[in-house]
Amino acid sequence: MSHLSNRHIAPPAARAKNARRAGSAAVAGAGSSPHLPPKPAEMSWRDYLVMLLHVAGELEHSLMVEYLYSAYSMGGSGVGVHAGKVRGWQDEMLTVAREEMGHLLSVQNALLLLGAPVSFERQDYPWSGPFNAFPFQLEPFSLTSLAKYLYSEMPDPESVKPPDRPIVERVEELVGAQAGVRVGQVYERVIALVEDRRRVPDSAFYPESYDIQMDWDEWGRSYRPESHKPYAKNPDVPPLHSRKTTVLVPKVATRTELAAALRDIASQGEAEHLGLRVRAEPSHFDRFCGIFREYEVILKVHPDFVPAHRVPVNPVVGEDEAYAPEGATPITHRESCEWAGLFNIRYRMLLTLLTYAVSGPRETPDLATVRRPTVISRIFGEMYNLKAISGVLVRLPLGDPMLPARAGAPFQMPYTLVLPPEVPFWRTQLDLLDVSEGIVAELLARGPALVDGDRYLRALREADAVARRWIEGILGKTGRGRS
Amino acid sequence: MTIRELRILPPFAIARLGSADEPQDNFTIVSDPNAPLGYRRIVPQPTLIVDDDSGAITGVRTPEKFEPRTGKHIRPVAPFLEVWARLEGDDHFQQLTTELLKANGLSAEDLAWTVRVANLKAERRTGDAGDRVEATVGPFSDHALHTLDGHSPNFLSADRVLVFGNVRFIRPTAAHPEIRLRFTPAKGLIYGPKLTAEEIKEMREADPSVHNLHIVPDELAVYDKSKGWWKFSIPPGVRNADPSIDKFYNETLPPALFAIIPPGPTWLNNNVAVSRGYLDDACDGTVEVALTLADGTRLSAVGRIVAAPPAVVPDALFVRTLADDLDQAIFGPDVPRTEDEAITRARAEEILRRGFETVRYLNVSVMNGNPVQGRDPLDIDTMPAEEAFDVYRSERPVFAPETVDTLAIMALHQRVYTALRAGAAPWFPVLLRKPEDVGDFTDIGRRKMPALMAGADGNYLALTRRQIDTVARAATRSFAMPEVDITIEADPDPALLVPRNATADESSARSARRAAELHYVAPGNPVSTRPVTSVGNCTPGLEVDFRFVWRRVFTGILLREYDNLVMTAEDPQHADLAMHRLLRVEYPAVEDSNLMRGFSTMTTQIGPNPYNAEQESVVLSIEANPNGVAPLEWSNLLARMLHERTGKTVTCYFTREKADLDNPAWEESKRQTYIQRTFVVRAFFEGDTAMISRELAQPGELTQGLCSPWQNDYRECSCYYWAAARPDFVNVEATPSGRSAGDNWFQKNHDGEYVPDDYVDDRLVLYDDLFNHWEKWLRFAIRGKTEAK
Repeated sequence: MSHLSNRHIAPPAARAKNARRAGSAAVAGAGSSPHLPPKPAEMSWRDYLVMLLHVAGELEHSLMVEYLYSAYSMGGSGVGVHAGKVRGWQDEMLTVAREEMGHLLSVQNALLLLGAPVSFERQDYPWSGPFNAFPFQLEPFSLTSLAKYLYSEMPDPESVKPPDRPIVERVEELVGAQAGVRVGQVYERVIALVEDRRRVPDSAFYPESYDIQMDWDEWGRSYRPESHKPYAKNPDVPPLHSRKTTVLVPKVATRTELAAALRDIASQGEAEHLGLRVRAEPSHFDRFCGIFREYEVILKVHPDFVPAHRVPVNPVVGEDEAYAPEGATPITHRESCEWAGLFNIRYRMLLTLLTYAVSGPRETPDLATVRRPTVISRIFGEMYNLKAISGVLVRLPLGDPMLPARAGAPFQMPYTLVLPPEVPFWRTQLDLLDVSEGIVAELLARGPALVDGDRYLRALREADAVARRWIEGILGKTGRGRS
Repeated sequence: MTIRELRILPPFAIARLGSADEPQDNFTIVSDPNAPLGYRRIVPQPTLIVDDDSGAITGVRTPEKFEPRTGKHIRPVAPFLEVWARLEGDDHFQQLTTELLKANGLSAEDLAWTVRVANLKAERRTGDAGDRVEATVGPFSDHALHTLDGHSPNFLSADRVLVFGNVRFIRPTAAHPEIRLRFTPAKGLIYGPKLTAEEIKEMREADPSVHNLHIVPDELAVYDKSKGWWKFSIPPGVRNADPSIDKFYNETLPPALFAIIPPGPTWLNNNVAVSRGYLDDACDGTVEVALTLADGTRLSAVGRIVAAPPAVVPDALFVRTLADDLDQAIFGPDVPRTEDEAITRARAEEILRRGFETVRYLNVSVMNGNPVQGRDPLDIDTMPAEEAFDVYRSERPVFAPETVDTLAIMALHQRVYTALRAGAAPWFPVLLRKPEDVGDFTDIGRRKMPALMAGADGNYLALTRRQIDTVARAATRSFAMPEVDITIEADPDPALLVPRNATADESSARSARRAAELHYVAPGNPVSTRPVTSVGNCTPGLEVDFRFVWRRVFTGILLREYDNLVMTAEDPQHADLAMHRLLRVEYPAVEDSNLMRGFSTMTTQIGPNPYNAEQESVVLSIEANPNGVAPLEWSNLLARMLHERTGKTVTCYFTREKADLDNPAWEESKRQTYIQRTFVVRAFFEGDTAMISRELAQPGELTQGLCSPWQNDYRECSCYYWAAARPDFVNVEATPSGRSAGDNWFQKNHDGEYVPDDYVDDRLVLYDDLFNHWEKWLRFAIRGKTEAK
């Protein structure tokens, strides 16, 4: 969790105690999960709720990134005859990541309803805290990493139904000793507070934010099951062959709507018991259980099965290993390093544009409306860039090209996501395009290490030129700004 | 060396109208590897210079630049049709030359050409065979120009003709010994009746705001106005829009589609359309070449020609072209599981590329159904407005109104394309509209891709099944697919057209040959002569109305081009089926098995249930269509059956009663009550060739559904039919505020102030503007910019 919010959690001694409790908790069968730290005395309940929502946002962001990294790592020569199966797992993992994106946006709507600032922040690795199930870690897809995700998305172990209980026990064997709190526990506390009229009174809500909240029509990209044909007997069960991803981005105007939205999110992830309705589609926990089962079946027959590229744990950009944070793996191969840098720049563009779309420019709402289509287009465009570059990185060397180790998407956070005013914001975007274009030019000049990479860079260069012209247009010909 | 078989290549050639004396120079379009998101580059190609006097090719010239006009006149596109020959003992065809003829003891004079073209547009409306305009020349063996004089029983006299252009057997020379014919289309003139001053006055009075009423000049006034086409209108008392009237009339879809008095679309004129009796000089037909060998054996080959309007956006391709439909007819709806993954991927990329080329010319916020300059979106001709009128419901924008903007949406498509170039597997097959779901007007249904455009059935456009499967296959390709830098061009490398296993069996080999022939790039022929530049969603279409090709697919009956009504029985044993509706088709999925494959011919129009819009839907029924059924376009509907059952039988289910005025849905519980009949599925192509069978469509039939005159189509149909062929939005740039701004291609003054489409706003090109000066107003758009003002 954010080191700033951690300051508010509890004094160091209490944190240490919590950590001990977390560490000693059994995943299943122990009767209780690790506990969340209590509200610190220096915070009001509304303030604490806002902080918890920030925590929830960071959790969703972190999980999404971990899942994306894991999904993009899948493949390589080790998949062998199980390529079809692994492709299915990859789809499943990406589905969960997309839904986490919906959760992240929904948390922003919750923050807006509470009149609080939005946040797409999260800490870089290595990082952990009292609200994490595990230290944040990007790692290749494996049975152990899957076990961590399963734990994070697990409902109360007591409530896990018998068919899944063996999986819960296996998860405990694999990762139980390191496990902290589950995501569902955070949502339980958030929902309890939202529903607590005494601690969070009606005056804490800011329904005027409804207009500026994000909604599914804008952000859902049609990710939800299709409507039933007329006269459906059970409309709660999605139609057969329907889209299996459901991105939730509910707008919320009231306490009741907020609580319902949070329950919906929680139940889509792990905490089915929090949901107000029976979910027909599998939760994230269910999806991961499915993968886990299949994975173990394959391992029984092919113990050497490796379904992922040899990508690093916590990759960071840096040819000089001396500067790599502890627990991180520097990408030292020159070209891979440039691709990884390109990835980080696009990630930064994505996050800053997202922040802009949600909270700026308040001083010129008309402009915000006019520019919204392009901003949204850019945001999704940057997501596609991350997908593309991730696919390239896992095929490039981590360091010595003669070794089998491959690189991976670093997902390094920018130093700030604080939104500057309108004109400087776009100037910053131009700066990012400048840097990106420089890397692209260098990579193209070097000649293609991958044919795909070269084809991509040429198109990226052109798309960015269009984006640049658009920004220069709104800043005025000098590029110095005109609001 | 003995010639055993002849072919005409290309088997389908599109000519394009124009009044300039000199035909369009040869050109192709290619993508720029350094600017893959940009416009395709127009690349001049070697152009064959034909001497007017001798009819011989006197030179080959590659022009420096693309010039579609000579002065104010548009240059006609005049394709060559070559003759190819297969020799005894050889599987392959080679170009027929004078040397090859000589080797067979023959000469060019032994070849005989016969050309038949027709324009049946008036006949399609009036139902009067006397309104057919047909031209036949030949057999001829000389090298003179042969004018295609169109005659009609309803013309004033036998010597009054409508000229469809001319054909010429190109004189072979030592330098150019190949055997070829050139079709030069007409000038794009409008023929019609000769009117009296009183009749002209009456026309003017019908709409005094029209100051430039088109008057058919005397030399083109060939039509006998005592016949039915002049002042033709849908007879009174037939079902048109009023559901209480129960007399049938075989209306077109969309209705009318001809020049009327007063000018306007019929639906804005109380559904009354009174014809001006105009006839255009567009046409379609066949070119036949015959050769009698020394031993008396007569060989022949046939190709098809079409005369169509110019391709005004020569550097873009539409997302679904006629080539896509023809490829589907050749290869079937599925991508073979053995196809090279790299080629599948390249074709998936190409589909997406054409997607953003199409978006580029759409004013997306207008086409989305957003209010335009404060005006009611229903006033603007768009697909969501069309949907609203169709189902008698309020109009709803398709996407969130604040998210749509042309440059933004195009950029998003380009970013997707960019990601695919990096090797990312397509993640969006589920977002592609299924052909059977074109009547799904729920939010998710309407947002499927391609969005905001109409298909051949008048509902939302779907890609061909084969295109959809291409994207789906690319999405599931293996992790270990090798990297290959392949770009599919408008004129693709023939090797990319053919599945790698093409020679694995006879059927695959035949398909491969057909594809190679269909896409054959004949020397001298611009890319605009090829099916890849013809729109595929025909409602009714621009080059051809492809809906008409399917009417005779079940041997013995003639279906209506746009729905499941049996018009007539060509086989008397099925006479009882006339005016019944074909509801369902079934056949064994595997020969001699009980496992049946079947499909219904109609879909149901559904919309969101207001009670639970996300999850539930309701049938969008109206009084005239209580079952809310809508026809499905034949091309996609029949694709699988055609692939699996050509020459074999299928079982068809028809309504028990005549149903010309009803729209019954298939009801499984009534299966036993329907008329069940077996039919043989006709071959789509003639013999082993890639020519659309004459049993399916005779000369004139592929264009009879198009507007009469074709100029009407440009006025009547907005770009949501063919954005990249009849553009809406041109000269588009981002404004300082960040929004896209540009011109409606159809506004007269291209000044950057978009004028919403409106049939009576004289800032836009109106009917008579086009009838008088279509070459002036159909402005070419190259690199997104229209010609200089």
